[in-house]
Amino acid sequence: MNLELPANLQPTVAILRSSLMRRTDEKAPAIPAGLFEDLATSFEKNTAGNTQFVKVSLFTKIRSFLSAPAFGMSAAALAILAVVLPITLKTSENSEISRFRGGAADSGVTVSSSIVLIGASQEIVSFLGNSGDFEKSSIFTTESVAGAKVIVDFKLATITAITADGQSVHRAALPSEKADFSAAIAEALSKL
Amino acid sequence: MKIEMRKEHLERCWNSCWQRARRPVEGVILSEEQASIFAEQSLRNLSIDFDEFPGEAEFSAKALRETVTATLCSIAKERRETSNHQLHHDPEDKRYERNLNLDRLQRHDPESGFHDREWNDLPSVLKPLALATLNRKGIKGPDAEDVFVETLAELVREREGSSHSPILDPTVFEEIIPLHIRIVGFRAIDWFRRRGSLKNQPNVGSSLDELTDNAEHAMQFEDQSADPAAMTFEKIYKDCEEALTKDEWELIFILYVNQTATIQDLIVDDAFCAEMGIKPGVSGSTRRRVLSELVEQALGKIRKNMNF
Repeated sequence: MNLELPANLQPTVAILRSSLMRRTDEKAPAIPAGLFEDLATSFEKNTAGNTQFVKVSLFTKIRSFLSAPAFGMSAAALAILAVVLPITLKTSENSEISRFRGGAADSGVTVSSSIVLIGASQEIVSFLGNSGDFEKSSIFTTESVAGAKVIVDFKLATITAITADGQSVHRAALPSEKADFSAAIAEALSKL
Repeated sequence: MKIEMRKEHLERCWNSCWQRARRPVEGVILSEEQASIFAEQSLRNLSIDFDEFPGEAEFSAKALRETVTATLCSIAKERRETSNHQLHHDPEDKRYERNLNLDRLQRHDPESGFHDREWNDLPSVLKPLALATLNRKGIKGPDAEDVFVETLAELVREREGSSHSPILDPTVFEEIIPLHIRIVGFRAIDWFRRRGSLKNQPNVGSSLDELTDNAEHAMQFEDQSADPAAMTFEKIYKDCEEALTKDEWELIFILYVNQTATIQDLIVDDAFCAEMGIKPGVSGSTRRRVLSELVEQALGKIRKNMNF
């Protein structure tokens, strides 16, 4: 049984009912693998990271510090910690953010140019797409891509950077090792 | 009280985000694969803004907003880089012939204003849609032409106090259509007022400037169909976010937006009733009365803020 709402609230209800899904004829694909787990872990981690601070008076802190055995050693250790701890914390915080922001679909290098793979096997295409170094959407296997691009020609074993107006600004040999592809492509991208 | 994100929460949110990414505004369409990429990235990016899951209503509203913004910005960037303004335009959208170059329309010179030649083509795009709207409202012939000219001027007129013209609002060209139709609606009211014909009609605000000059202010819509995109949940949430409590948002979201439970389901849900501040052991009728009051109160706040 529904609530009997006043007539003046009915239009509000009608608008709310149609405010979320505007089309019913298109169905979204399944949630990407790992998305739920990553988000759940992220929320869990953020919550767990909240430290509970206990208020201790300044007098108590000084007294416990002075009454500690090996006062000199403690002072030295504290001085080292005062320098090292902020650096360590800062580093781990940054690495956490850069690891998660954008997740699996994010990229180490944000490119506004396209990467065109010519004559690449499906394995290589998948390897580069899943490497996390480039956005999947910027990788193409056909040469007819407009704008600035880096052409990786596996037949000629070359990497060429071409600007939006068609000028070649960089040309290098394709590395023999698959693991070195990303670095070589990134270098070409940097020339655009 | 901490709310845990459950898989069904994310599934529902994913579905609506994917739909927004696929069609962020009327007339724009992305491939299914691209929609998936934008929806996923938006959800991942949003999640790091929260220390804990904020509840389904807030997370969904903000995820939808992030998805639409990211998608539109990316489309605008692609169009700019490729100089292809038809890129991602829905081929089934026959409202006008072709998109214009939005960057050129938005190009502003401090002395001569908006003067790019692209403006020469804008009237032919907007006019048929505007005249159709005006005709439906009973404004025809030369009167409709006059109102239409006024609406074009309105697009570039700086809003009071913000020195920001409405034409600068859109990220992609397709957004100009609902923006202009909204202006047409306001100018039509203005026209009727000038004619002295509009007395005590519904949907008339306390002042016309209040309706048109403040972009952040909740606006009234004389004709909802003229601007369906404006009534998305993310917009309602943004405009009313502060007015409702977290509990009120969850209640409204479950009952009316997501429609995942009926009031009867909620009445028998002890945990949910406890969250809403209903003491354990109270009768079903009392629970119904309390929840009913909360719902009416929340809907009343939304109605007041959105003026509908």
